[in-house]
Amino acid sequence: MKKYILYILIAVTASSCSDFLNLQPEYQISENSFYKSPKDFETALVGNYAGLQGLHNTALIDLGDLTTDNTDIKSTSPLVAEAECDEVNLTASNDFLNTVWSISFATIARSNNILSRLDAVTMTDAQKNQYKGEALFLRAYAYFYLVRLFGNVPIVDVSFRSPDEIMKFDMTRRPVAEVYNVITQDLLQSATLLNGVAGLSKSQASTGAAKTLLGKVYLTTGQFDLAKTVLKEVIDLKTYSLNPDYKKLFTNGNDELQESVFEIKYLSGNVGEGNSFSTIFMPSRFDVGMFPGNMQGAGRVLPTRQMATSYEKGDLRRNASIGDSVKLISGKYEKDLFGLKFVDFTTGIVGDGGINFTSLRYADVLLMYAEALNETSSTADAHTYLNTVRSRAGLPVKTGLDKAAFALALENERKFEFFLEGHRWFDLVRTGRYQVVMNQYFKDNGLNFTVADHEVLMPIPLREIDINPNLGQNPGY
Amino acid sequence: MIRILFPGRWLWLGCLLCCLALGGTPSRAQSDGRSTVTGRVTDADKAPLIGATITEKGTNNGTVADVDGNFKLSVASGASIVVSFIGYVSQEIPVGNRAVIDVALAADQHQLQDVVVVGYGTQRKKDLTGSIAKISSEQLIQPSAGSFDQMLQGKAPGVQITQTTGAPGGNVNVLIRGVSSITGGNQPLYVIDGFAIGSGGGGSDMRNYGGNNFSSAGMAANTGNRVNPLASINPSDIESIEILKDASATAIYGSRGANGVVIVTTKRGAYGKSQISVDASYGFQEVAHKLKMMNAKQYADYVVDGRDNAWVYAGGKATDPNEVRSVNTRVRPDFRNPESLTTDTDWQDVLFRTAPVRNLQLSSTGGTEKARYFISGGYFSQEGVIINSDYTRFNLRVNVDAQITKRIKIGTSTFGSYGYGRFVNTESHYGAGGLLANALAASPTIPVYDANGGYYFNQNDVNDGLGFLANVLAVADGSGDRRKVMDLVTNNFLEVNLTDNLTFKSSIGVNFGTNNIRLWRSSAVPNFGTLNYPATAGTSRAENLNWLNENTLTYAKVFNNKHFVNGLIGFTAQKNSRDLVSTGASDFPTEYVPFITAGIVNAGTQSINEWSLLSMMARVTYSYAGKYMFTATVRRDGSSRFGANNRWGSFPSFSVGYNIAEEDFMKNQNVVSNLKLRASYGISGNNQIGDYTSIGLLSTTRYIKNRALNPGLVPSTLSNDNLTWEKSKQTNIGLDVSLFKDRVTLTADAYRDRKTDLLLAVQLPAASGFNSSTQNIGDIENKGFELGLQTVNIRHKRFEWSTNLTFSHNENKVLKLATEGGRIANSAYQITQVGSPISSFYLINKLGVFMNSAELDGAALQHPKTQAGDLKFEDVNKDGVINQSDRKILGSPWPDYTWGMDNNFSLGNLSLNIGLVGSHGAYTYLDAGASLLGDNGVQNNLVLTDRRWRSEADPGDGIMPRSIRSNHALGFGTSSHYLFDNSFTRIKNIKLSYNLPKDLTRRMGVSNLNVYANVANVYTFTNYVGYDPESSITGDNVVNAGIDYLNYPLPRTYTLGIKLTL
Repeated sequence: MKKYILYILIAVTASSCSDFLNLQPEYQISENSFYKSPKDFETALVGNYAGLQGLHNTALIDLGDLTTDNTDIKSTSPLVAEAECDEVNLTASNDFLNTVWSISFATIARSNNILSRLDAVTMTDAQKNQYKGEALFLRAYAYFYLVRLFGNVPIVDVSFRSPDEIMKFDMTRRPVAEVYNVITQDLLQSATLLNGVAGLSKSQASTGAAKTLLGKVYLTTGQFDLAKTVLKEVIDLKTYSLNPDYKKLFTNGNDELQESVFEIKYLSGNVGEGNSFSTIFMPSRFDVGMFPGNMQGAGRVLPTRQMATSYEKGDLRRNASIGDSVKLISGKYEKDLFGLKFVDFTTGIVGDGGINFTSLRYADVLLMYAEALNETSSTADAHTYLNTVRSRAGLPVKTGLDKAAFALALENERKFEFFLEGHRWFDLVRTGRYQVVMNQYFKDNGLNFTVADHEVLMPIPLREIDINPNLGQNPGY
Repeated sequence: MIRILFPGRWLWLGCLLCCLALGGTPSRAQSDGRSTVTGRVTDADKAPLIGATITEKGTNNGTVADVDGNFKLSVASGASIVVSFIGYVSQEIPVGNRAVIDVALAADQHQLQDVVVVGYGTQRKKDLTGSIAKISSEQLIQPSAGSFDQMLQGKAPGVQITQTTGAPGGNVNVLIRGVSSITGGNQPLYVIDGFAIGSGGGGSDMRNYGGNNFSSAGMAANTGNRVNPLASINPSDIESIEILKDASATAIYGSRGANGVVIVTTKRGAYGKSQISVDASYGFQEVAHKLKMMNAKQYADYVVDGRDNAWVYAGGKATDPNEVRSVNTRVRPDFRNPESLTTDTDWQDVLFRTAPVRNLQLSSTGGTEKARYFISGGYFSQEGVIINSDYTRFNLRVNVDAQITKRIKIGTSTFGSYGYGRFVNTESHYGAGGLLANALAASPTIPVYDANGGYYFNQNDVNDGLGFLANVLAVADGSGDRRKVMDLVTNNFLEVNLTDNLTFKSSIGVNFGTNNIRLWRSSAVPNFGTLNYPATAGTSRAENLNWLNENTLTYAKVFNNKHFVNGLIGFTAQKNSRDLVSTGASDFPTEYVPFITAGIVNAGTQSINEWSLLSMMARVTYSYAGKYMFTATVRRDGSSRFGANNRWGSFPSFSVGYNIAEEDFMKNQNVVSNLKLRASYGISGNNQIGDYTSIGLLSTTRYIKNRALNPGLVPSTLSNDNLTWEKSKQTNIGLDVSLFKDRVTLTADAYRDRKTDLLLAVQLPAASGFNSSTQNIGDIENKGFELGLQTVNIRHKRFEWSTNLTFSHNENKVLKLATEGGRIANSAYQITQVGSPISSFYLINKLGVFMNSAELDGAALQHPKTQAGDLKFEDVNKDGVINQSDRKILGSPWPDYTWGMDNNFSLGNLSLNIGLVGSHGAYTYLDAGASLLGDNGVQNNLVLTDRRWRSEADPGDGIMPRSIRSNHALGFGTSSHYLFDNSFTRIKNIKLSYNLPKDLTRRMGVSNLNVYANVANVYTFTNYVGYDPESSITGDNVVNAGIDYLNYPLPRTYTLGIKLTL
């Protein structure tokens, strides 16, 4: 009898114990209770796009502009990471590199997660194509930054569900060519899947965005014929055109403009969705009276004097990009250089600018197409597209340049067209001109810095090597 | 529904358990030819000693005195009976022909104090085999302290107590035998009158209170605890505190025992005359140690120096006029002539004040044979030594024990506390509203008030580069942080003596608490670059409900007067549920009403966190003639916090003791009265991680669609079905010695504690898409020794001097981490790596200052343009440049040893107590160093800066570099320039008290009257440059201890009090 009571006791205890101890977070969403309907995938994609805000909010400006002859620091207390960019002396502990690395890989992982869960849920083909197309675009978008900045990187194409799965996965760095293969395949697939999908915002992936990015990928890998073809397809879409007023691209209300191909959205109003361009591009002075509440800038990425004075005469982009004098609280004006793009003069709060950042725009398509034409010896045709961009800037057309001269003209055009948009480093490295241009710049300014051979690739972030020593560091770092 | 059903079910199970146990108890046999003895056992005052044991000598025949003290025992003719009761001197009485024997036992003063509360029971200290430190109420003597944990400092060996802040109601850390967990909590388990209330602390990491308050979402997210949760326990109610240290003692608490256990036992009523006591004290506090800052002239000189040097560095001449200089290197004309400066403000005086502290305690105790009670009420009110801060608390307690029948007893420990206060952000950068940084950085050349009596502020000062500062009074008045904490605990038990040897006890307890926070920041509080940051407010309310049901069966018997056996089995269930709602608001049309209702509520969250724990435990203790002792315990715990595959675990422990003093060959000497060797080994666990750490969760993120917020979700944590507790495998050997009739008592312990399966937030490669996941990886070792020595140095008729000394040494070492050679960055300044202590400081090592340009030749530089007067760093990797690769370990926040010494002097009715504490070998990183020991000639600095490098001819003391505006030698940001040895010796307390003579008090109609004067935190001997060597902004986040960002300074408190017993 006693035995039976004991058995009953154990049975009761055991069954109720498992209930008593099995507590699920009622207020939070767990992976077991999500990814069940098409709507869930839309929500997951919103989460994935949101990550890009952090990528472009200063980190890529510092790595793309501060590392070049465009800008320098005027802050009285620059961050170490900023100084490293300014002096082209990047170390593995540079915060911006870590930011780009971690956000890019988070974007990739989120895409992988979405891709891995799509098949288990019932939805229309149209829905599935769209979600898949967007996820693939984002994965390629992130890998493209990684491969250009760091060279060989790990290729992750699965979604992890437990620590064991991560431990067992091959996290070693794969050759650049393999990474580009993933990027190209993703973008080709994305462009196809998204073809004809209507109603997409410029902040979402689209056929045009996928093809524009693919064009840039081909340019970077030297596949100029392929670049030419795919960029021509973008032009032929006739979806995009240059915005007549250049300045409007960078001021309040730059939503969904005709020139925008892919944009990162920001929102002011102290809800945590603003950007920091208003502080990094404005001078570090206590007496600036240009924002509500007299917010001060930080002077972290400011135009060099050389930049400010080297615009062609009559270039409308000059005054849309650079300010010459600051309005003081006292009402007086004082000479000081600062950047104007994306600076939100309606915000009174540091880091709360609400102007969108356009990472792919039609002017880029035109200039890339011109580059592809020039590189495939269609220099004459290329002039048209360069001049379309110059005309918008109020500049006279260029004619009769030879291939080499045209390449230089293009380089120069891109410098002014995309100033403060994080392009310069990538452009110069792509054309193999980074060392030449920068060493000349340092020399001209009496600065004792040089760009060494290895510095056209960035070091792998220290955190990642600490965690996984097998990654290995890029040579020279 | 489940919540309601469960306690009932456990009760039922408990009853079943009892039945089973009962069935197994053999019944006593009766025999003929014996006589029956009856009698009554009382104390000297004729009060019955309920539960006194009466045994027939040399047999296992015995009984227990009933509720009236009566007993009845059948004994063989010619036998003797032995009457004993814990805390009294046993008596042996030959029965002879007597049928009635009344026995009055004398209290054993020595023994009374030597009953130690262990988990789920008590033990005589004599029989202890584990390592347990006991602190009695008489040792808790700091009347101005708000919580009992502060009073424990230096009182118990092996326990390191740190008061990280001087804020009223503020945080205190208790660390038992060293830091042991990197990601899991390090707090011990607190058990109040049998109710395990979980760990102390509770999120007082002050880094959470800096700049994130500025947005409405930040306000809503600011829900961490600032009030020390242990402050809800009224120190005056405490009878004793036992600190369980080794695994033999803690394993009975299973998965929560690894960080040690603090058992608090409150006072209970005793049979006898009713008493009413009043204890009232009044004190005032002042800041114990003010920082010595530069005065106006020194400051002006420093500013001028910084600007001239920067201009010269940029290629100009020091004599150049302002017109040709860059904005940042222009010098105010009056600064060129420091003698002309008439204002010399000490901004610390603006914030600091002398503040009162009041404490009123009322208690009544008494009882009849059937019921005993202890009732108390308390009021404690402390204003802070910094303006706008205070804390007030009310307490009530009712402890009742009632004997329902001869065999059934019930009782309750019920208390409530209500505390509220205002808190100030002294901590953090002035840009984030840190009050002290704001005051210290402010220029002494400007006044506090303007000509109209308003707070002085002139934009021109800011434009002239005197830092970016608002008037600190405007910041203080513009910030509000009000908190209310309510705590109700009731723990009720039923105890049934099933047989004379077998007791069943069941208890049900509930702990309900609420926590309200109301935050406000007006637009007068600047946020770094934003002067007029729009006002925001936040409010939150948390409710916590914790219930506990415990059922135990205890069997105790003495066989043949030699074999003492005590067995315990038990079953417990506990569940905790915390519900939090918080909101934030911005867009205030006016700032007259600092509530969320006056603005637009646009942020908020709610969370419901639950955990549950089921446990079974058993313990056997056996001792043979007080000579050999053995204890074994085991607990089996199931916790909701762990992965589905690993919820249950067992925690065994064993210990033995051998008291040589009980050996026959020791009987003929009277030097050694106790000489006990102890040894133990056991495993206990730590489950202090978040409630749902093993489940893969998604987090909300937002993005914009059509210029409006659009919610998104992303995976945020990785699931881990294998997650389980961390294990502490501890070996302890100990020695207890009493000499010269207990004039000298020594307790010594040495231990080695290996923590395995550490709960570690393992950093994951970013390529996995996750930042980290909590896994059971890593091993850590703590080993050390500790001593407790009590001596009566002088014992004369009227004069006595006794000393209580404690000493603790602990060595912490990481043995294994997730990856080989892997490092964990604990903070910007600390790492954890194999072979070193947790959170070691890992910094570029400052060697000194380049005293002249010759020293620069061939030296490793951090910047090509480094010049004489700049800091010199160690080139650790010998590559000729100074960069982050030259960081090295330069100490840890863990002291080599800590100690405490109490000296008690009594002369007649007068007594004097002097308490000292000390800590040696730990380091603190002065995070505020950038603005206190900076070099850029902007903020005011410690006066140490006046001894800086000025020129090769006047190179200063080699500690402070030259003043130069703009951070020309980059990377200077963090280095050992700001790392300081925080060793200290502190006169913690001096108390003088006087008992009025009895004949006088009798005439006054009171039984006892005592007046006392007390000075707390008298003086600290230290080389540490900040306010206090124990300061740490990281609060109860013990693993990141040792980072000081100007915490609320510790007050020195002078108290006068009177204690009256009617």
